[in-house]
Amino acid sequence: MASFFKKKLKSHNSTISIKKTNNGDNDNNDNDIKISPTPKNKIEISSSSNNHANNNEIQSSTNHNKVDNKINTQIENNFNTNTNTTNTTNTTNTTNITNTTNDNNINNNNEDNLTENNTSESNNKNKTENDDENQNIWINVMYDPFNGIQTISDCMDLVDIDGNNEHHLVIADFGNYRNNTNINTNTNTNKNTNANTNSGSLLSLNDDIISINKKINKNNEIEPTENKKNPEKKVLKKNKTSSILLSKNDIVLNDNKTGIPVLKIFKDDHVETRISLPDIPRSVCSFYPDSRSSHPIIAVAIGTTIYMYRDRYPYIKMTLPPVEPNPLEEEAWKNAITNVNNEQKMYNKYNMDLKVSNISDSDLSLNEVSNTNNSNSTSSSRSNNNNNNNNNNISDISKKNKEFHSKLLNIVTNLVNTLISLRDNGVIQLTQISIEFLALQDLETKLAFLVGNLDLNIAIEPTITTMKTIKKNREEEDSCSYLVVGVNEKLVYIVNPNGCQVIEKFQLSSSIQLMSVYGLYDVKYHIIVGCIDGSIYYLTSNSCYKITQLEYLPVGIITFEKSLIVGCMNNTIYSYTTKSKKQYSIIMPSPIISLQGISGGFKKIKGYLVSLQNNEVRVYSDKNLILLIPTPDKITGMIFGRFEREQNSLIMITKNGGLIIKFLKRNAKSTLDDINIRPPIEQKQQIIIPKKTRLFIDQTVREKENAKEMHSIFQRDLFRIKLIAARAYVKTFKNTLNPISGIPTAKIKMAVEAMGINVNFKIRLDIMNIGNNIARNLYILFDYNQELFTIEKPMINIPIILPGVNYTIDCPIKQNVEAYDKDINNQIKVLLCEKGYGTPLVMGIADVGMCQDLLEVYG
Amino acid sequence: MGRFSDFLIALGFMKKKVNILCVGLDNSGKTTIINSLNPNKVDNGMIVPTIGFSIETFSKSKLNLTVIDMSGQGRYRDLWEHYYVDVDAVIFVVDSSDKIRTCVAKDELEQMLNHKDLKKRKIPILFFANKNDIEDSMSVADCSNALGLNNVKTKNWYICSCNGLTGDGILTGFNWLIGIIKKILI
Ligand SMILES: Nc1nc2c(ncn2[C@@H]2O[C@H](COP(=O)(O)OP(=O)(O)OP(=O)(O)O)[C@@H](O)[C@H]2O)c(=O)[nH]1
Ligand SMILES: [Mg+2]
Repeated sequence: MASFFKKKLKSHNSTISIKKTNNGDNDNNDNDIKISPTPKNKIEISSSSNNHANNNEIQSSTNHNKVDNKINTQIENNFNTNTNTTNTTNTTNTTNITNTTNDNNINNNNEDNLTENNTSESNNKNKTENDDENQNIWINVMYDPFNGIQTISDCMDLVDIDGNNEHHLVIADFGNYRNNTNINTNTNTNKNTNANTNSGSLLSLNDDIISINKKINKNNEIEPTENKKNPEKKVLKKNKTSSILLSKNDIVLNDNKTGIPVLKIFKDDHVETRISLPDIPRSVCSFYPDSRSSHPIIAVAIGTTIYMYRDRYPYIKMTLPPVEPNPLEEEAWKNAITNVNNEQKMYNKYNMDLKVSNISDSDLSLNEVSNTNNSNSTSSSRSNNNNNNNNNNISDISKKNKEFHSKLLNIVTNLVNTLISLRDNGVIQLTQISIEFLALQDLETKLAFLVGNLDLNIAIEPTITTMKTIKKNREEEDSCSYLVVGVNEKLVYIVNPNGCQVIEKFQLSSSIQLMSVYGLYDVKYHIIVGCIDGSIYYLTSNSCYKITQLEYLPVGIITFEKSLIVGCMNNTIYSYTTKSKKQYSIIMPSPIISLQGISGGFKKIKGYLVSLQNNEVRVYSDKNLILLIPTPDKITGMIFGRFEREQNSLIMITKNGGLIIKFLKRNAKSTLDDINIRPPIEQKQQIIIPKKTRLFIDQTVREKENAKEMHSIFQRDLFRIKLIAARAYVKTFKNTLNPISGIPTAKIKMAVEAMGINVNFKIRLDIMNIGNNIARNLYILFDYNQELFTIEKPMINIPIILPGVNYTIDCPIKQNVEAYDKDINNQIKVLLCEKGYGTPLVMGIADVGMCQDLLEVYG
Repeated sequence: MGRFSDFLIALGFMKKKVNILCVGLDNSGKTTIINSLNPNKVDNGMIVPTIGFSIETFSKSKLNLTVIDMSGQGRYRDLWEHYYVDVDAVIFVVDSSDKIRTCVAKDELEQMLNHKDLKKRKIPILFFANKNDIEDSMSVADCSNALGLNNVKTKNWYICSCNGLTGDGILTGFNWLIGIIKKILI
């Protein structure tokens, strides 16, 4: 059964797993199924005492390296060895700390929990006393604050696993990820690069180090080539520490059974089956693969892979087809790789002639490279003197090495340049590998990457970010479904899990982040996709368009037949129709954590749940707030639906790992339906109308009696206002103060802006021809007090202004010394004139502030 | 007493028909229990979830019983209250292996006890903690606690553990019910 997993798992390059025998945490059930990566270079250390032993083990190995370094490196390398030692001590220290703090964290968490619970309970009391209705609607089945589950709404589902109409809760638990944030990011990046089994930058480097270490340990008689391996380690040092950290954290992970991601299948309120997951899950879905089967499949999206489970056992593993890179990009890589290969062949040939053994490996060539790069060829040759009698040979080698290195560097710079130009052209979307390659720190690391991954294939397997199901042709729960998968590589796939073929593929403009599906695939369906740049797309069988571009990033999306709901980072829920019309928005009292649709018995209403940062979950139906559920903690994951045999259950996971189960009372449903039909509560609130005062009554009486007069007075005043406005308009027009010129031949707009606060100013003019004709023969004049200002060019010729183009003209202006103590208003008038006309087209006034205040301050 | 009541029935003084309402959550085993009580029913091993309700009449212990077997599914539970008016006894079946839903059963029980048609009447309630054969199921005491039976002071009630499939324990409870009914009716 597990064979299909094994195949994949081999590709995981290396982890160090440590078995602890004294740990009582191994309480896993018999039906434990592990999909933990079985490492290629498995180093098992069983320790009976404690973690310190492990540390020692690793420390000793690193020490070993250090010793070797000392032997081999000379004075120039002292600095390096120093850093090396600090590095090693650092790593051991940090890992120690993580080990101990782990426990502390848990304790702290618990304490936090307790205190939080206390406070929130008191809050609860207040709240619940306020609305009895809430109490009556729910049956509180249980609240277990220390269940230790970390998950999100996407990773929860209610599945009828055995086909006997008992819907068990299925949760993909992230494990103790908050205590191990380091590795998560690490493993994630690894995962990305590791999508191609060949590529993994960090891990492969790690591999190299291990193999090198082994070699060093093996051959203690130092050969000249072996000598040169050590400097290489320095090049990879940065990577090395991180990789060691990574493996140490892996140990922490494996130590703690609750720490690793697990697929938990519940029975009632307790976990019945645990299936270890290889990494942090992204999404969990359940579906029926064909109409005949009575047992559903649980699909878990992890990284690039969808793992499917049936009857609590692994069933199929599926990866999406790799995203083909752009041919230009591929070409660049291919070239570089073949070039490197050629160079290597040449180099090897030469070395064969010299009859020096052990240089065939790419590691070694890399190592040669870094050696020469460190330009300690003299030192190495000196050390070589001790061991090798052939002086000539050595200097020859180092010369050759230098040559080889520079050639390789050339290749890399070429590759980098082509990739950068491809990237900057903006037409081509580079693959993740190229982007990460360009982001590597310096040429040397880039070179190391290239040489270490000569079998690289940049076609990348897409990383799944979201996954949903879509029913094929029947509404029924057990009808066969397809999977809809959104990936980081800007694609949405519809996949038939039965045979694992892609049925439909949508290319979007940005990474997919959120998704919601409505309808039946064969009849009518739509997929609403939220992208990482805040755009929302509508995808259906024969069309695909952008619904809107949100100003704030979306947190959750739910779609109904004709509308959709988006919760955004600005505490607001927006509703759009699928025809991209905005309907309404609801402002929440605090940030939205998650959004979840209500399925089940509420087909009629557009119900959805919103969990908020202020410890409450709100149930909305369309725009009406139906229920407000105060929770003891922040809710990160929730699901509403059929749980076990209960139709309307709400299951919530708190931020601190608590599990809350609530059932909706039978009679609550009808009240909810009522609420939905009723007008919103706000409508019932009475508007406080002040009492009619004496004054008001008098006024109305007067209005009744003198209606005619009042009307005529009002009319007269109105006309007066209109007249004044018209006059003012004419005046501006005459003075051409209006920023837009009114002459029919040339319609020109000019904006004047004074910039700067010191003696030297700048007036910026934005001139635009908003008419249809080309304006010619214009010039700009500055009208100013020459005593106060000096303007280099008081007249600027503008030969031509094309329609629609914005011309920006900057004129530097200097304030004269005489002006400092003069306290007169100092406007500069800017006149835009046409040659041969008396009146200017446009006039602008720049108010230039006097700088004497500033001068007073600054001397 | 037996001969006397027979006599009364023969004379028509005693009510012949006794209405018993059988309620409980879905899948708790109401139909199974009633079938095992019903001498007319042949056990064919096929019990499907009841839709709406089904009425069984049979005579037992010289009483003519009309047992109304309600469906326990959520959407049919609204029907229960329509039969409260002319009911002489209630059988409340709890699935003692379904721990997570005992609170639902408790809720339904409270709603029933507080219903206007039942509140004032002194009606015996027989609780069956069914499915005691299933491993890890609740004991009678646990069931009684979970349902909050200690607070039920206005009614005559009795709880017994039973197994609907084999019939173990059903008669114990049922005989108690018959005894009470006879006492009330005479
Ligand atoms: N193991 C076990 N199973 C039982 C027992 N009693 C009933 N069952 C099973 O429980 C299931 C449901 O029984 P039903 O009698 O249909 O339950 P019900 O209360 O009538 O259900 P609804 O009509 O839907 O309200 C059947 O499959 C029975 O075989 C019992 O004592 N032990
Ligand atoms: Mg039944």
